[in-house]
Amino acid sequence: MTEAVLEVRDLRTRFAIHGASIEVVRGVDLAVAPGEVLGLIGESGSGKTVTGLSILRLAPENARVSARSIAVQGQDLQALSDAAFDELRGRRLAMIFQNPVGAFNPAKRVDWHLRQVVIRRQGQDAGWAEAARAALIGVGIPHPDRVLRLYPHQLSGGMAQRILIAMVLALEPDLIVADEPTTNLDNIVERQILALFRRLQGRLSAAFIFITHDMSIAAALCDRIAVMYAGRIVEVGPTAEVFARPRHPYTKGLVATALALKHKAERLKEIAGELPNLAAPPPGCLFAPRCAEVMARCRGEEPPALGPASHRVRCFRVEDA
Amino acid sequence: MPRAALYIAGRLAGALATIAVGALVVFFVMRAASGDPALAVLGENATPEAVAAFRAKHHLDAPLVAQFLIWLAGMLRGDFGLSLTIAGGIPIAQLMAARLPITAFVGLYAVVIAVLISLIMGTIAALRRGRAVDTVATSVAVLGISMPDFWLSYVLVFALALGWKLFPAYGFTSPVDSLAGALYSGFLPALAIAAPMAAVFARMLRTSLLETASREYVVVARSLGFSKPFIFRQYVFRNALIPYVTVIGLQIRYLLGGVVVIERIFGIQGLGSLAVDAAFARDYPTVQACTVVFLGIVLLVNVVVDLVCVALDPRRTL
Repeated sequence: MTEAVLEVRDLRTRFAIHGASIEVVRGVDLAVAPGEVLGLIGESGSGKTVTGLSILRLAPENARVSARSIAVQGQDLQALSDAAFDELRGRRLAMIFQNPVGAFNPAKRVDWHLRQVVIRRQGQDAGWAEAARAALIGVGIPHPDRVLRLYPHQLSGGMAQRILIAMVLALEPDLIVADEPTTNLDNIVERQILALFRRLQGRLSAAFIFITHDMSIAAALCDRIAVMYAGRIVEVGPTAEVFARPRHPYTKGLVATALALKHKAERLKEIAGELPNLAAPPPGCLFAPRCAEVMARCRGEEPPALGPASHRVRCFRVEDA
Repeated sequence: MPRAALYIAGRLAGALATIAVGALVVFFVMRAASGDPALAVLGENATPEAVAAFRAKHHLDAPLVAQFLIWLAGMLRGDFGLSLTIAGGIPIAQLMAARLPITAFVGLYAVVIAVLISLIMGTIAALRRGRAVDTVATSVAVLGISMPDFWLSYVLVFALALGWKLFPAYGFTSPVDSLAGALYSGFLPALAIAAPMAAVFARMLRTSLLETASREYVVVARSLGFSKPFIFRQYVFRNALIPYVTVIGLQIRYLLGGVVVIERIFGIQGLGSLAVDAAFARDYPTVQACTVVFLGIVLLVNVVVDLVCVALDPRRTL
């Protein structure tokens, strides 16, 4: 792996809610290389989105983010002031959001948004109209002139997401965090947007963190997969390997579910149980209460990241193999 | 723009229908009041001939429905009838034409003051949410809402007119004579009307700013690296203005009630004091005319506010 665009060590995010402090992200390690797509996978509430927002320092006001390091191309972002960080966003870091329709200024037309992006990129709006048209064509919008005159409320979800992607790409950031960018879209549009991502993948040098709860999307799109459970990454490795030989019982469950869906199995094998209460986390492995392969040891101590550097797993079972 | 023209024509037709219904209510309510206006004006000892002449002059001898239709038809031509009391029967249209600019000026002055105060206070309170400035501004706003305007007028007169002698305590220079004089002499009355409105507007703006600031598009704008002042201006403030303007439109109707009271207190010869004086003198046609004009002003302001809202909010169409 070449030098990482992003390297995160021991990221922790706490929320203060009604006096209680809940740690939602509990020591996440991540690294993404240029041009690489890292899939961050997990069920709702596993901390994927908060991880993305924390990296970009966009977490809500009641969140407390800490980390041993959050480095972009070797520069530790934690040392930056808020003002300096504002300068970084949109230049080196950018994010694509889940709800594209709500992402636009409702009072302004599409052309206004793209113009601001051009100004953000080059400091002035010279040639913005051309750049805007090119950006829209680049994300598969065939009639950009018509679309540029629309207001956000006149856009379909798929169209809005394409435009948002165009805006982010126009900024040419080094790292793009895409937070479930297709979850709120219907099936056909979802497939179109995923095809767009696949097409862009080859052309871009940016590193991608693709957050999703859908194993099959991750399989189709990502070079590596990081599986998140209850605020921790429980398994991370190359996509093909994780799919062929999932090591963590939780990953095994996700893969089995994805395969069952793919083959339209009559009965879905779901992972029974639910996420633990993070306000009062139980001791030991947080997946233990739902784990089919649980051992006595799992309930007492939390497994560290085990296995080779290319395929880490937080499970004591790995030692058995 | 034919659609805009069509829209305005439709609104005007609707406003005329509303005014007609309003006129009907006003007319019959006034007639239901006890006492003969002829006797009230001419006195108990008036000769039968004088009473008959008075009634004929003011169409009081016609059946009620006919009286109403005569009045309505007159208004369509801009003829509001003759005053029963003032200057031996001066045309009411002439009376109102002299007083409307004064009331319009004071009302507009009050709205401008209320908007300016609320824009500043509301924005500061939202930007400094939870801090001392916010607490003070919010408390002052609650005080402003709960203070009756006539009471506030006396406080202002005591402090700024009688105490510090900064402004006149009584009297008003018409803007037709001197704009500077009107701005100066109208400041206290306008402020008295504006203060409770400013409190409502400021609270609305604060709430609206905080609500807009928590919207997803603000996080997206930050993720694109737009500067904080830019995001506040173009995203937060711009979108918070829409509910703010709507509330201003809703408050205008209370403004007129304030104007009537405040004109009496400060001795301003506007439509409000004309209406009050006419009511005391049982000058029914004048009261009716003033009420209809007030109704027209409210309807007109509603149309203007709706047009501003449409201009501000692309999701709303005509």
